[in-house]
Amino acid sequence: MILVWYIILASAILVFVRFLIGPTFADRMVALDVLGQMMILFFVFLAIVNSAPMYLDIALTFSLLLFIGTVAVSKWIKGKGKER
Amino acid sequence: MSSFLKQSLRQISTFLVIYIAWILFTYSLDVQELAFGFVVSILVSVFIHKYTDFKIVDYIFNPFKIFNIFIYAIVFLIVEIQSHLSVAKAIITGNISPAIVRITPEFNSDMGLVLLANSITLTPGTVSVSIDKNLYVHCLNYKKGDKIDYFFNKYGRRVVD
Amino acid sequence: MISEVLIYIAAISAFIGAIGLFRFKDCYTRIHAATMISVGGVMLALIVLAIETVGTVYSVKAILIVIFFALTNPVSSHAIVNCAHRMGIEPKNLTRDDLGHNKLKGEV
Repeated sequence: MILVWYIILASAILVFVRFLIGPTFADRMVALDVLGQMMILFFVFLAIVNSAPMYLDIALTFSLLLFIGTVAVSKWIKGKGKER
Repeated sequence: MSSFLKQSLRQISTFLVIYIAWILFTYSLDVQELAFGFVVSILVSVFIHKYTDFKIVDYIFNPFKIFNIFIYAIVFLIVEIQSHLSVAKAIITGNISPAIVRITPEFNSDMGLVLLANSITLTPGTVSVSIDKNLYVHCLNYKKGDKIDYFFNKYGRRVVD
Repeated sequence: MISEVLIYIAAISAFIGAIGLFRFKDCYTRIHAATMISVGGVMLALIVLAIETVGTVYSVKAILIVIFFALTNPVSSHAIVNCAHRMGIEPKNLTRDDLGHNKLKGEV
């Protein structure tokens, strides 16, 4: 079961590198969204492995905030692009 | 009068769905929680019906429609697993042929368009880019003569219309 | 036993998605890898949790989170792609283009 943490860590590092070097804005936005989903995946794995399902509340709150944040930022940038 | 009755029936059904979701999330039958959820559900359902035309009563509380939703879910699950495997193969081998394809939806209502666009975006390998009556879909592996909408038009028409 | 196998499937699916996100050339193709992470990773893990804790509060809550995720994830990924399209980022190596990226650049 300890192999799961290494897999998650490696994929989060890959996504973070993409966030750092992403050439355009949309690439960074995708990488940020996926980093948030990695966080949710981490909490769900924590709940399964430790058999402590109260971590699920954190996952729920995080998914709500992630959705609102992603939609709001991309709407805002879209409006900015129209002005130019 | 009949129109007013229909409108209020729609509002009550939206209220019921929100209230059941509230009870499932809190999972307690305290008087306090029930009363607070009642007030919040009334406010949210009034807000929804003031600004949108969301007709959940036509889809949820109809046994024939529920059977069609069940068939749609099974078709969606099979398509999901297939496209998941094909996208994993495309990532590992690295040969892709992307394209932007126009899909003409066969629905009359907005709800059908939402269902089609959401289903297409939720399967990996296709994502909807833009909408103007037609749907423009960016897909990862496009060969000539492929069906991009994966039977969602055919089975979704039974759910919505 | 079966839940352990499913957990490993979810983790490996997330890893393949991360490789795709790192490896693909433009943001339109990267979105597909992101969808693979969110569906094959997060939703599968939540379903495993719902199977493990069946009969309690948390099983119901996990199923509700799966439904919520299935409703909101397409909206956010469509918002990102539509934002990229409006900003004028062009997809690379297209074999067919019904949207006509070069023509639409000025007006929308």
